[in-house]
Amino acid sequence: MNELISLMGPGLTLLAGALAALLPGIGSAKGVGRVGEVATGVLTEDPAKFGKVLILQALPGTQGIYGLLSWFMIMNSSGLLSGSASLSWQTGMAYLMASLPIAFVGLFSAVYQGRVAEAGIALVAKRPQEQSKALVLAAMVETYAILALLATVLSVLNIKPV
Amino acid sequence: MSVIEMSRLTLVGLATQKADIMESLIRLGAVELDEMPPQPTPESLEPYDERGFLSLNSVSRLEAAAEYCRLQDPQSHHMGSAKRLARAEDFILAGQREQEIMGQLHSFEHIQSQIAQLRTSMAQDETVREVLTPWDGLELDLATTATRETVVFAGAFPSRDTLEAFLAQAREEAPETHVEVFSEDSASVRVVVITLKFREGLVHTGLRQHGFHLLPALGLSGKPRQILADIADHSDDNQRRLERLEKELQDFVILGKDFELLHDYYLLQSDKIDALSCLPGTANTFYLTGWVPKKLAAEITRALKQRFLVAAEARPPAEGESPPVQLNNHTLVKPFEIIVEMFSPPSHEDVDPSPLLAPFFFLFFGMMLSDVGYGLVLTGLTGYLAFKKKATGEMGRMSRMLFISGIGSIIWGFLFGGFFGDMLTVLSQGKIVVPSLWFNPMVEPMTLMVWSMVFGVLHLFTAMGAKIYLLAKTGKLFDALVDVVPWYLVITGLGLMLGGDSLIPGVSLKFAGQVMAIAGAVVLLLFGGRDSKNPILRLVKGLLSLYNITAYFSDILSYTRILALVLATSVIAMVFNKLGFMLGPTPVGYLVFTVTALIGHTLNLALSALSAYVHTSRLHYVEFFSKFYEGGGRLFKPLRIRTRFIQFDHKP
Repeated sequence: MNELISLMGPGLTLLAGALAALLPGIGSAKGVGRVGEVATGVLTEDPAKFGKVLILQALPGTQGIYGLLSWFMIMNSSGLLSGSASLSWQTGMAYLMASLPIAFVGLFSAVYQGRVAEAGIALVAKRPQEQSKALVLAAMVETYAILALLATVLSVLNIKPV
Repeated sequence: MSVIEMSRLTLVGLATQKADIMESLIRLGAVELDEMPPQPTPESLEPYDERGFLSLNSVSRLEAAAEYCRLQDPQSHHMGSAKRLARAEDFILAGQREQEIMGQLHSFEHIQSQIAQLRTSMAQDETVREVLTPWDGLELDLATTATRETVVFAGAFPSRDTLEAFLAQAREEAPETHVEVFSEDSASVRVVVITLKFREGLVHTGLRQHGFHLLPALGLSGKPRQILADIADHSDDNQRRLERLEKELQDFVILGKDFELLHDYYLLQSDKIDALSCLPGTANTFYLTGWVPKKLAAEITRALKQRFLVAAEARPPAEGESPPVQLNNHTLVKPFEIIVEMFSPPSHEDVDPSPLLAPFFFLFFGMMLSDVGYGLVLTGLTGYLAFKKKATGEMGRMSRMLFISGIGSIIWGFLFGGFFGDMLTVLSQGKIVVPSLWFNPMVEPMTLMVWSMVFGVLHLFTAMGAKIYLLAKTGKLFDALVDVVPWYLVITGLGLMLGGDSLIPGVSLKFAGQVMAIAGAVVLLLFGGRDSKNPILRLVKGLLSLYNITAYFSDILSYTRILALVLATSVIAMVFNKLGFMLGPTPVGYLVFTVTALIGHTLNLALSALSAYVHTSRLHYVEFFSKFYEGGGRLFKPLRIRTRFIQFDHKP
């Protein structure tokens, strides 16, 4: 029983890191994928727009990066990255809670940002000079991923692993 | 502030001089014509002149030829789609040499089409050769498909078994059928089948059932050996002819420049015709209206009057007219105009926000992408595009903007101590640590968060200052004093209440903060609802105006994204460094590191720079502009020479 409890700390911490990398990654893949599909359609008509649509496609990809960033912060600050594995279950729980904002907000904001960027592709197809408006509209969604990232990162940095 | 003043130009001239006047206006590049519905085109303005050259067709022919030459010419191949520097005299000369150049284009195209024909026939020969080679030696004229009494099929069965099966069937159904096996290999058994005419249908069906493939007719006559010999004879001949033609075509490649010049000259002519077709007028006169920059107006009208018989007048814009705007800023601010124009250019009454935006864009972009290495790569890349390649258009403007912003990244990289993340630390295994001149955001994220918000407040205060200036300019100074100024007090006051203890050691500014916040709030409470006569309603409205604090609060919090992007840039860079150096300081380890770092940092730079650009833009569009700037203007788009291939070394 004691052994099980001693495993819970590292386990929960790994779970926290996994969630942080996993869910926003899925969201970004979904968002980037959707935008890519529509962008390919535009390119069949006008391949010269590649640069413009590529930038729009990259936007929902940042959540995945925020996820990786959070994973790294969790692994690094808990000491798991350098091989130490003695964490109390309370610390593991704390990391798990800290990872939730970026995990969920990252997932959903990437999907919704993908939808805005997808609509932005239609805008760029018709009026290429309005690309920056499409970019900013999509970036509005990302704000919440950024806020969630801040919540996660600041929490992780303030957890003292025991 | 830095919007160029415009004058209204009205011009009446003779219809006979219309085309010449329009051409001078286009060359001048400083007059914007009002958009008008196209008028019915008079005969003389058909886009085909008597020589029949200037048609859309010849424009696209010239374009194709010029593009071909550019690809083939070793000297201009490297230019890609960049524009070639040309002298204005050559451009005019190309117009005069129209006849000659079009003649050359004709010869060029003639050779091209000969080459195309030759290639097709060579490809056909190749097909025939491939099909007939297995049949070499067959003593049958391929044109022969029947005699008086019999029909002949030449073709192949897929295998010996299928042939046997067919033979068995033929013995039953059409015993007169004779099958001559010509040759046989693993893939097919080539045979000639002869049968009586009245058995043709039956035998044909039988052949099909057993997978027989008829030798394709190909429209040939003669025995295969003869045909193959002819092709072999031809092939050398054709090859020589092809080489000769290609050589001839190569001689034309140096004419590519002429094709480019004439193409762009035709573009000018067709633009002129387009512009002319919109001009109203009578049988003998025409009339045009438009906008010119005020400082050029007098000169332009004088020059027009000198050269042509025209009545021209330029006057300041009247009430209700909305002239287009052209921004004119200091060299350092100019690159940032593109950010304003992408939002919406200022209307002619607005101030141009570029001078206010530029320093903050520089500041925030630099913070978000704060890395010496990334900044160097970004300035190097954009500097190369902007100054070496002399990129024009949107690309050139973006390059100059990112060039300056990249310098901001370098500065902040030093302040925060980042060079490709912690590359040097990782490579030296902890011996070298790039010092941060200010503080390290990885160690003190909270400090950066506070500073992000402090910079944000300064940003907002600048925007509010611009609002006060605008209100004062239109005589609403009182509104500015009671609507905008109190917010300075409230925000500063609240800020002091939160952090007033730590600013100056030993002195608490908390009380001062309280006083400021309360004073501001009281002014807002008393004046926020001043349009209401009813004193109670007025107080309620004043109370509601205090509710705006939430908007300011969310605006300020929005600047914390700076911290998030700083962390994202540097942590991802660290991840790649760590990942790349997993094998340690061995030769293989360094190799792996080089590859990983190259890919990883390229990716991180691209994404981080994009994020920095997008989010800095957002901070300006949403937080900054919402305080004072609406835009809604229209950019000045003068008639000017539009070119596809060339750019002038000086104005024609």
